[in-house]
Amino acid sequence: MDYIITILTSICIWAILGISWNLMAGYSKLFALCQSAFFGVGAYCTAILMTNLGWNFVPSLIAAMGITALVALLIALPSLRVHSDYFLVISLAFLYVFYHSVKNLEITGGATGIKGIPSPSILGWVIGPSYPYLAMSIICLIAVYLVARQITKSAFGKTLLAVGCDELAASSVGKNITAVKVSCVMISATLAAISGSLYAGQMRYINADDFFLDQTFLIVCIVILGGFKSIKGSVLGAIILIMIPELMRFTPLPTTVIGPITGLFYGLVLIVIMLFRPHGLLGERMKG
Amino acid sequence: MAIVTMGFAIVINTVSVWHIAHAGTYVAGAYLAWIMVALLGLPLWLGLIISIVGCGIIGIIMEIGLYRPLRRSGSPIGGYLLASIGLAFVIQNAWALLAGTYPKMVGGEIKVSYNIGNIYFTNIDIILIIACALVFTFFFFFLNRTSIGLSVKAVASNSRLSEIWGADFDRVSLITMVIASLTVAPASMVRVIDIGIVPFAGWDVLILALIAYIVGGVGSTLGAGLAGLCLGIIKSLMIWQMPSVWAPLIIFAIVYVFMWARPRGISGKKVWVYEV
Repeated sequence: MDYIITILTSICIWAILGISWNLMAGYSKLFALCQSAFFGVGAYCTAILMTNLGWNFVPSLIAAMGITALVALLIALPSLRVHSDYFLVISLAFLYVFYHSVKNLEITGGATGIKGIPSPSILGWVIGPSYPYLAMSIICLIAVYLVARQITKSAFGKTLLAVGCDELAASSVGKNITAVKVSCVMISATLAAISGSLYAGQMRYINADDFFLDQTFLIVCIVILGGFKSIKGSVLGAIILIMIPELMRFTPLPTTVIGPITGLFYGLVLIVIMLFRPHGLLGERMKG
Repeated sequence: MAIVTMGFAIVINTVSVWHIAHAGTYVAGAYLAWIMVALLGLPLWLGLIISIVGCGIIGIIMEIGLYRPLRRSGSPIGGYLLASIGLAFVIQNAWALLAGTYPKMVGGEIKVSYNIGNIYFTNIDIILIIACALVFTFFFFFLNRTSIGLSVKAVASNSRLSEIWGADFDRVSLITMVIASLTVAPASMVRVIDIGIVPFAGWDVLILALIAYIVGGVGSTLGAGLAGLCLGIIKSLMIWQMPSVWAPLIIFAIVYVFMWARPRGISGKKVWVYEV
C-alpha cells in the first residue's frame, strides 16, 4: 500500500513539473532544457531551509518559489533579449552548471546530498509520509492545475500563445515580447519549485543526480506524450510515464538493465510521437 | 571538441535542425572503434576507418529515417529538436544496455608522455591537434571550393531561394549529415584512446559544443570550430589554475557575458532575420 502511495505522490510531483514545462514550451515555444534545475533549486532551497535553519514547510516552500523565480529571471533575461534559440543553449548550460555546483558546494552537501530532511508540518500537525502527504500533493497538483488553466484562459495566456505563434505579429500589436517571455519562464520555474519542495519532503533525501538531464527529458517526454498546450495531457503523460518503469520492476529483468531500458523507452516515445502524432495524445495540432 | 562543434554547427546552419543526436553519433563512433579494436583485434587505423564509415552510415540513417519524414510532414523546428533529443537518448541508452556503463578503452599502450620544461603532453595530444587541423582544413575546402560545399552554403543562407535555383534540399541535407557524422569519428576515436568512453559521454561534449556554437557565432561553421578550440584551451588553463570542478562555471560565465555583450558571437554576422 505504501508503495502505491509513493507512486501516486510521484505522479503528482511529475504532473506539476509537466504542467510547468508545458506552460513554457507549449504556449510560448520556449524549449528550455533546465526544468529539472528549477525543480532542483526548489528542492534544495526547501531542504536547506528546513534542515539547516529549522524553518517550517510552508515558509520554506514560499521562499523556494521566490528564489527559483529570481534564478529564472537571471537565466532568462540575457538570452531572451536576443532569441529563443539562445535560451535553449543557456538553459542547458545552466543545468550543467547547477549540477556541478550542487555536487561540489558545501551548503548543498556535496556529492552525498542532503539527508534527514524533516517531515513537513503545517500548524504543528506533522504530515507523515503516507496518506496525508499524498493528500497534500494532490491539493498542490489541483492548485497548480487551476492556476495554469486560469493563466491560459487569461489575456496573458493569449499573449503567450501569440508570442509562440508569431513574435513579429505579437510585437507589432504592441506586446513587449521579452517581458512576456521572461515572465512566462519565471511562472514556470515557480511552479517547478513547488514540485521540488514536495519532492524534498517526500524523499527526505536529495542528491544532485536527482536533478539532471534524465529528469529534464522525463519532463519533456511527459509533455510531448500528453500533448502541447494541453494541461490535462501533461497529467496523463505523467501517469503513463511514471507507471511504466514501476511496472517493469515486476518483470524478471535485472535491475541494472531497467535504467537503460527506461531511457531507451523515453527516447522512443519522443521519436515516435514526433513522427506520427506531433500534437501528442490530448494536445492541439501543431502547425509548421 | 572543435571537431564536434563544427559538425554540429554545419547541420544547424544548413538544415536548421538542432542536431542533438550528434551526441549519439559521437558515442556510437567511439564504441564502434572499441568493438573493432578490443573485441575483434583489428589494428587501430582500421578501427578508425571503420568507425568513420560507421558514423557516416549512422548519419544517413538519421537523415532518411528521422529528419526527412519530419520535414515531409512539415514539423516545426521544435519538433526536430525533440525528436533529435529522443534519438540521442535512444542511442546512448542502447550502448549502455549493450556494453555496460563502465569506461571502455583501447590502444592505451600507444600513449607516450613527453615534457618540455614544465609542460607535459602526450602523443595523443599531438594526434588530436593534427586531426583537428585536418578536419578544419577539410571543412574549409569543402565549403569554399567544391560545388556541393557551395550548395550547402547556399541552402544555409536561404533554403527557399536556393531551391528555386535548383539545389536539391534533400540531397544537400543528406550530404551535410554525412559530412558532419563522418568528421565526428576521429574525435571519438581520440576519446577512446585517451580517457575511454562511457555511454553518456555524449552529453558533456554536446553541451560544450552548443556553447561554442553560440560563442563562435551563429551562422559560421568555422567560427564555431575556432570557438570550440578556444573554449577547450580556456577550460584547460582554468583547470591548471584552480580546482577542476569549477570549469563548467567558468564556461557558463563566458557564455553569460557573451549573451549580454556580444550576442552575435566572435565571427557571427546577423543574429537573426525575420523570415517572411
